[in-house]
Amino acid sequence: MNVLRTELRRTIAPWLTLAVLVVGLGFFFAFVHKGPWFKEPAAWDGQWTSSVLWTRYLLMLLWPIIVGASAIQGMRDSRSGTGELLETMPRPARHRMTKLSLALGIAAVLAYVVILLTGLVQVVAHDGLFTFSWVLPALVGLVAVIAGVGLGLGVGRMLPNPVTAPALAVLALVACVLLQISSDQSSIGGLLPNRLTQLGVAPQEPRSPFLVPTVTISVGQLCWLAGLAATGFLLFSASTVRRRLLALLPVVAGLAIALPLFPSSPAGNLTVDQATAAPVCDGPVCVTKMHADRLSTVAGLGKEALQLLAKIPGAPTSLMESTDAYRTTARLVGPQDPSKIIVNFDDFSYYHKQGKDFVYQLVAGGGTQACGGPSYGGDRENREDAARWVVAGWVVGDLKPPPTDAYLQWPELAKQTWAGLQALPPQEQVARVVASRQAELSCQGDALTALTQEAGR
Amino acid sequence: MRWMTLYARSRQMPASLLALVVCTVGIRLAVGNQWSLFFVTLTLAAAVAVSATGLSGQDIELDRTAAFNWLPRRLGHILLIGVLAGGVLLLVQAPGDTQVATSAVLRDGAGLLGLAGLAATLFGGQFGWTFPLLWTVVALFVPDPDPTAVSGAVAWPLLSTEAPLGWWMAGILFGVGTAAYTLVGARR
Repeated sequence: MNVLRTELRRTIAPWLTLAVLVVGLGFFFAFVHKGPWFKEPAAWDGQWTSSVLWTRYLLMLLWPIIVGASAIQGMRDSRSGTGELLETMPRPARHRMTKLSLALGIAAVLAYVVILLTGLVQVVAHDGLFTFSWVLPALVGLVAVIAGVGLGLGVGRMLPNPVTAPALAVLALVACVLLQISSDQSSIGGLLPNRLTQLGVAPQEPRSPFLVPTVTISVGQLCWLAGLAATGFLLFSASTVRRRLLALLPVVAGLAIALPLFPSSPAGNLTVDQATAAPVCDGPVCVTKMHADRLSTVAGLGKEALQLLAKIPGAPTSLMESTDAYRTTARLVGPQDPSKIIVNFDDFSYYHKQGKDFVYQLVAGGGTQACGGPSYGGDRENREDAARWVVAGWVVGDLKPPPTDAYLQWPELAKQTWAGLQALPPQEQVARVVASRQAELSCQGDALTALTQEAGR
Repeated sequence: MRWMTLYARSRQMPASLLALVVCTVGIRLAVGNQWSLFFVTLTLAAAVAVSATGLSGQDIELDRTAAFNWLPRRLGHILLIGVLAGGVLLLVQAPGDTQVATSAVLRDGAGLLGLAGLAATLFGGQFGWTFPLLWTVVALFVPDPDPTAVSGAVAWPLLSTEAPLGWWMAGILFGVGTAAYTLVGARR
């Protein structure tokens, strides 16, 4: 106990705790309203699982720090030239190594738990919906931290050269970055097979509060990281060649269990958390259990939108909340269900919209979801935005003035199309609106061409 | 020449140089067609970090007994690290299909070098890698750096070369770090 107290005070352990806390909490609190953090529903302080996953995303920064600091500590004996002196002690070296491993492990885990709790306390304060899907991801994060300590100590002891610590930290950082970039489903991804990318310590940032890592993935990651941790600590305390070779067994075993468990395509990485996504309905209008408090406002507006849409043949009859991740630049792959309006509250086109504006957004494109990526400007997206706006105007009975932001290129297009559509006989108008809605539902063809050219002939 | 050989050996230069080349080539190959300023910053930080371990020798007391002036030698050593880190990177990226501007490499390399000098001065050469790597880790993941605000000052290595803030940050760090190391030298 005495030795452990000394190790906690006199090694790099307190510095490690300090560095992890400063970087971790500093990063969260400094940039909490910027960049990827704007995703209101999947925010760090919004929901239990999102909070845990954000903390794991943070391992991208923290893991290299933990690994590097542990590597420095791992080469202490050989760097200070006390190896021979300590070998004269009757106690096995294992005992000393265990105390040191314990001190560093406690320091790293303590810092990580403080960050985790900082997020979760805010979730409780914000009244996030409690489900148990956060437990496994949180465990994976903790085991990852311990694995980082083990890896650093083990490699530091094996290669006691001053270059080892920075080289290992760099290696950890590059591995984290590459595995995370490759696990992205967008166009950037696909550098490495999905089974490999799931070995990464830091997952993608959460894009939706409903999507949680599947249980098999978490179990696989637990096995692989526990194996890595065991190998690291065994290498650190092993003093004979035979023991060192035996120390490699856990990580091999962990990999052998984990790799077959991981899904072969990125689509299997996340699953919808049924407890949070269960529908709560008021007649034809449904929201998820997580957003049950919004039902009172959405119900009236949703019914109004459904009523307005009834003039289109084959109009939707119900409204559902989407549990998909918010797409930034990826295109939606059709076909969509024509009988439902799907609302994604993460979509910034619904932000700060109330009353009439909200209804106008609901009936855009005839109650369909946009096919283009919302943050992806391009000719195709501009034409789609214009068409959706005009169809919404036709459904409501009057074109709402388009937004006047200077960077938008479609409002002029929308006004022209509206004027052209108004000049047609009513039956032809209906036919063209239906054709435009079909183009949106199938995500094939061009919704604006359907409005400006004669339908189906 | 004899002094140079002994100095290089005492500062673990062969190992550092090998690690520098391996890091640069390795990252460039691993990244493939994603090569960008993001990875240039990462590579420079890696190269500076592994070389910075040699900024202090075995015994500072022994060094001080030398009958010559250490200042120019220390300055030469730290600048050589920068030249090697930047030079090897420029050589490695030359055959690729995407190039990052030389001015960006110069700016980021200089700033990170200053951080390495500062860490070596404060904690000793074997911890010289801590500051450049720590700052890079944070800078790489700052969401949406704004070239006129604090987030831009933190993420200076990733700002465009037109932004004066990036140059100011790099210049200040380079100046302070190299000056401190040149004048004071590494802590034991």
